[in-house]
Amino acid sequence: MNLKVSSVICCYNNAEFVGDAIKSVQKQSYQPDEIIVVDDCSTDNSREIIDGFVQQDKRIKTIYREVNSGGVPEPRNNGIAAAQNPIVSLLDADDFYYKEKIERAVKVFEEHSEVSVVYSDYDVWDTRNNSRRREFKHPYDTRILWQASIVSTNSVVRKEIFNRAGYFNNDIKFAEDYEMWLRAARMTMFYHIPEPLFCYRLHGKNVTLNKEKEMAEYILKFKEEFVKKYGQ
Amino acid sequence: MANKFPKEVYDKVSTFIYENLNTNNSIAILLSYLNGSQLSYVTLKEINKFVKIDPYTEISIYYVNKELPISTPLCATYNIGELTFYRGECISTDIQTAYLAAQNPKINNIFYVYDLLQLQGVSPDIIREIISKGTIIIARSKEHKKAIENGLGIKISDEVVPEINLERFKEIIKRYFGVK
Repeated sequence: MNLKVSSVICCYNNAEFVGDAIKSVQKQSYQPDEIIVVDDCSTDNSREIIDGFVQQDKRIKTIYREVNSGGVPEPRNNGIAAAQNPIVSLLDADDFYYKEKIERAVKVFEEHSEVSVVYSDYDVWDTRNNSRRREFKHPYDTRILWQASIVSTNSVVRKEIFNRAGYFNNDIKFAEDYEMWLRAARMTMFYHIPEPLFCYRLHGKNVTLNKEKEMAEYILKFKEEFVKKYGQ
Repeated sequence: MANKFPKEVYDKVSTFIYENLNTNNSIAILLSYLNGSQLSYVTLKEINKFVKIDPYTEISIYYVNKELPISTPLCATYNIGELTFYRGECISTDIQTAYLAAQNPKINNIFYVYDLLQLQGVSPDIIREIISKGTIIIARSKEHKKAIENGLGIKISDEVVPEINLERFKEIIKRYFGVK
């Protein structure tokens, strides 16, 4: 395997977890060539922790935003734009990868040149009551994707698809990844790996927690706009 | 040309030919769609690769919705209605096609559970009927196998096939249904 990977980790007030996220990338069985940590103007000591890692690992680059964006898309876009490699693996600072996440995705990219987004099943770890459950996802199907977001944010993506389909929409505060995947689905193939390859952590401060109604309204709104713009 | 034989003779001869002389290795793959999905993309790609390596195995596709295929398959494609006349091994890829295959007693059916979530909410009667016809159930991963066994309360095959792989399915067919 010789595809080079950039990992982009987005952090906002995740001092407690960002270390785990960075370590999980550093321990990958297939090593990324660069790790970009974007901090969206955290008010806790996230930056101190990130700086500690920067001193030990030269691959880690930081983007410290001076103003908080109020959402995930903008810092994520900053990280993707800064990535120097053809493959970008996305990770939120409160989640972490399992060891083979990047290796498995790179294998898919090498076997299937038509695939630009690789996602997988995952575990959900609720740290509030220390329970774990497995989240299975549908294999990629445009008919299902239109009904629900089947692709997780912590996916591995060919960078060129962002140049073709556009980056995450900064104006969307929830489910911005879903809108992005819908745009990408018009021009590329997605691939689902039927194994859990990362852990999504629930900790009470998750952006989307308890905001299902707001999220559903957002999704409805951008779907209407999407249909107007591109047709169904 | 009009058939000059009496109908019963004609039927007997056709049945004899159909049952005894068709000795080809044949595998039918049953798909609900030929486009817009990972399953159709990977299956057509795998078939097109496989037919060049192994021309002695006859591969065919039986589809429910044809629409425009994601790529041109290098094998015969039939509407699923034609499955009644098929005899041999088949790989069904969702609950709908697995059920249809189970209705044909001349078929050795492998139900490859490509989308695990599709099994949610399926009537136990349908699952029971599929299994009762000798269908072999194959999962895509160990985790999926465990989930199917827990969810349906049945034991399924220990074979795990992460992605459509016809070489692998040929081995599984040999193991479960023997060599023709």
